[in-house]
Amino acid sequence: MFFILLFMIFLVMRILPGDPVLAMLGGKAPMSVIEAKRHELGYDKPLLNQFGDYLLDIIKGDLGRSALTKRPIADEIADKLPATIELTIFGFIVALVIGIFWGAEATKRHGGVLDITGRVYAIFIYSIPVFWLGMLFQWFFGVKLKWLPIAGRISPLLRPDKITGMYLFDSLFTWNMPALKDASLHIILPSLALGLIISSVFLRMVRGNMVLMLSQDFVKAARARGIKENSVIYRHALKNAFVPIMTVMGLQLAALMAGAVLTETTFSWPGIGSYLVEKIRYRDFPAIQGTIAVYAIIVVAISIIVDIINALVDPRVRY
Amino acid sequence: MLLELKNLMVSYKTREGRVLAVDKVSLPVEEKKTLGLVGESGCGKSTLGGAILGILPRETKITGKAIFNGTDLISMPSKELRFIRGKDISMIFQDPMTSLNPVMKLRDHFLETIFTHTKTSKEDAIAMAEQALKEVGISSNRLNDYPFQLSGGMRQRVMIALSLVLNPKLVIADEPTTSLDVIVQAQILQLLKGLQEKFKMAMILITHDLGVVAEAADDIGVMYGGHLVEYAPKFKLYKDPLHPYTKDLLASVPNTNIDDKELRFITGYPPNLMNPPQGCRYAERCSKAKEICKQKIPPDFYTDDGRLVKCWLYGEGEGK
Amino acid sequence: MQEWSLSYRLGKGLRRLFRDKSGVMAFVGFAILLTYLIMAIFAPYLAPYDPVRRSGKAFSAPSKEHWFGTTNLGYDVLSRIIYGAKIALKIAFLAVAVAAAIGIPLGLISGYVGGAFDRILSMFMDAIYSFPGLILAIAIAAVLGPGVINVALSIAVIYAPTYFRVIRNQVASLKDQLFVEAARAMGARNFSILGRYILPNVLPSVIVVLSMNLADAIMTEAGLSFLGLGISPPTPDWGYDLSNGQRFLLLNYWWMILFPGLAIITIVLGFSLFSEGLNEFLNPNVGETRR
Repeated sequence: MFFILLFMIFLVMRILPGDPVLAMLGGKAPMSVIEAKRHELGYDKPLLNQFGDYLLDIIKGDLGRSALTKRPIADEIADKLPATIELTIFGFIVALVIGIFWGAEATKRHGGVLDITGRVYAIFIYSIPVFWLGMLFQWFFGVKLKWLPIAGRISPLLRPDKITGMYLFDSLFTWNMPALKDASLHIILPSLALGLIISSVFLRMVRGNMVLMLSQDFVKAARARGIKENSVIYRHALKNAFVPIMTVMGLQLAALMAGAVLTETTFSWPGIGSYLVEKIRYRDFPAIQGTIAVYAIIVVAISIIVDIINALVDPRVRY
Repeated sequence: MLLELKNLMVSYKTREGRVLAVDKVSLPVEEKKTLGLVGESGCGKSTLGGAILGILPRETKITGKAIFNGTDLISMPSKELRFIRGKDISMIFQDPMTSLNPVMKLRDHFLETIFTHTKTSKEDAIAMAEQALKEVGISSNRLNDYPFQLSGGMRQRVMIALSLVLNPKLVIADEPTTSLDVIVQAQILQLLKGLQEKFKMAMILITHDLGVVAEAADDIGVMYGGHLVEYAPKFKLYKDPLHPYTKDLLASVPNTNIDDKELRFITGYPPNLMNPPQGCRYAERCSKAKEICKQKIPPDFYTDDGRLVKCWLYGEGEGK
Repeated sequence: MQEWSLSYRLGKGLRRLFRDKSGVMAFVGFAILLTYLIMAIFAPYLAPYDPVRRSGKAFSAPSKEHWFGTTNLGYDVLSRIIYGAKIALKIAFLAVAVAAAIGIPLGLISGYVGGAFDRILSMFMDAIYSFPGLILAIAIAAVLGPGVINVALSIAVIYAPTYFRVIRNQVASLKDQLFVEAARAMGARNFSILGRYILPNVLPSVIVVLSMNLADAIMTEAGLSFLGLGISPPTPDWGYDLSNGQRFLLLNYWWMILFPGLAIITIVLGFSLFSEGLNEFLNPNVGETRR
């Protein structure tokens, strides 16, 4: 799957209308310069050879150099990646908590308050663009109430020493309290906006799978043994619903990253999403291609992690 | 009398309308005895079992009484009823393949049940579980297995052990052998019967299989279309069935003991409970149906020797 | 008399529609969509001002003259929202039509033919499907450049696999069913089996996917134009207006972001409600409503 993804990215970037070299240099560059550039970038070789070279480079961890800054793209992305991971983790936690608890509680009483409000919430939240929710937060909590910072990851002077590149963890490890506080304040709004939007999908999915599980025989059998309703819901039904939920959540994590692109742009969050948008603005095609390839790597990594977690939860997969 | 059902009625809502699944059933369950509840699928026998334990979906409406040890289970708040489920009354289900939680070890099934109802140390609880497994013929080192590692018959044994571990007074077995292979069926039935006698429990054996009740039951209740049409001790019922449905039912069972009669079948279909007939539910398929059978539902008639039959042939107009 | 019977029949139909909430949901969604459709079609008559011409002072707050206020260039926000419906719907419909036109035939053939062809095509489609849609659309839009057709195409690429998967899986399970085998046994040609026996069976789920995708397509379009990858300004476009409004957020010009956002929310809500209601209506046995 990984190679297919890379191949498609490669095709899209290389074949779709618009010669990347022309785009880079502008239409008025003399032919000789264009040819030279083509040769330099290896664009004059047959397509499959180009793909082979590209693949080898990626395996070596080389994503090429940015046409703009001339720095290795892998290095540039490595600088930005921790910010995105940090945002995604916290957004995911927000979505997970809302999705699982609301979704599970909603199934306790069919047609009850939590069930109905949950369904309305899911449909409504799903219709809100994440960047608009972000702006609303910025305006309300930042401009009106002046409670929270609305842009960036941390105040420049407080940046903690780099360990993981994720400021919250770094400041925790180095016990740098002012930095921890500042970074926490910065991440609240973006992760909340991102998490709330994704939570609607989680909520629906958890609810749907739980309803399915609660109609199973072993749930009826557990009830017949007098097991507490909370145990029935969380231990019996939720644990069994976990495998389908995890699988879809893996896919949703990909959606979370897509949402992160918009969230990062909204909150000037310096992650790979902002990086991608910036590179598009300057038509830096090698960098765009590299970023997309990194996304593909992340998608594949997530699906592997999901499989591992599934095996941990479900004995049938493990044996 | 351990459990007495009085005018038990169960109805539930579907998209198309209300279904009256169990209609005014009154029935005794004697201590240490097995009551066999027979009928075709959809006659309400399983619903009846679920209603006693209160594990039917919330939309279900239950009226009447189910008096267990002097207290009514139907009017009992669900929080209190939960303490009876699994401890005093337990249940065995039809499909052992799906009745155990696939991601929980057998051990945790037992521990969860034991800890829910008693204050026991972990060591004692495991000892109880091992003992219960021994009773059903499963080695105690299976406790660390997951359900999918066991065959269907073994899982049903586990389900039985699980329902016996707290020494209940009543076990409701809902088609406990239906989904098993024929040979395993016989083993499981024997096991159940033996354990019931050994632990002096009462049992409600719900099945569509007359062979099963013939083997294991002491008393038999026959259900049709949500009604209890006949209730009698097993030998009386087999020797001298009163209700036409019971007669037809017995005649339609291949029985090696009765070789002088040819096998018959009952024509027609069971009634639609969404829109039940006005009179006796069996009137349309009954060869002895009279005018009144189609007009009015027959009341429960009791014979002198305490049998129950819900048929106009035995009252009012003096049919027999 | 005739009128009475007509209205009577209408009332009866409506009552049936409103009997359960799926009908109500579909109806509300449909009403919202109809409103936007009318807005889009009759934009020149409905909009109070030209959306790309200065119509008052810059940054004027909502008032009698400008219900939703004006932008930094003095454009009327309301007029831009009305005209924006046109762009949003145009791109969404175009994108979904292209996606369906690619995904449905491929899915039909792939599911019916099976074999290596099916496996390879499925692999490709699954790969696209598993990739974050917006990011893929961003990449394609970045290469293609701005414009209605280009944006629609980049959105179409990410939704084609949805149709492909839905259709392929259903066809694969349908083609071995008895009524199809019977048709084959009676000598029906592959083409007519596909068209006459299989397509009608998969169509209901396609319709639901279609209306859900329209919601997602509007969202994606808004996201793309928010990132500056949509239609070139100053063409009225909700996503672009939002990113434009964000620049002045610190100055407390809230109306520049509030109203375009609400426009996106309501139209997406309209599509979601419609598809949700339709889904329960067409496939009542999803088991969600019953326990």
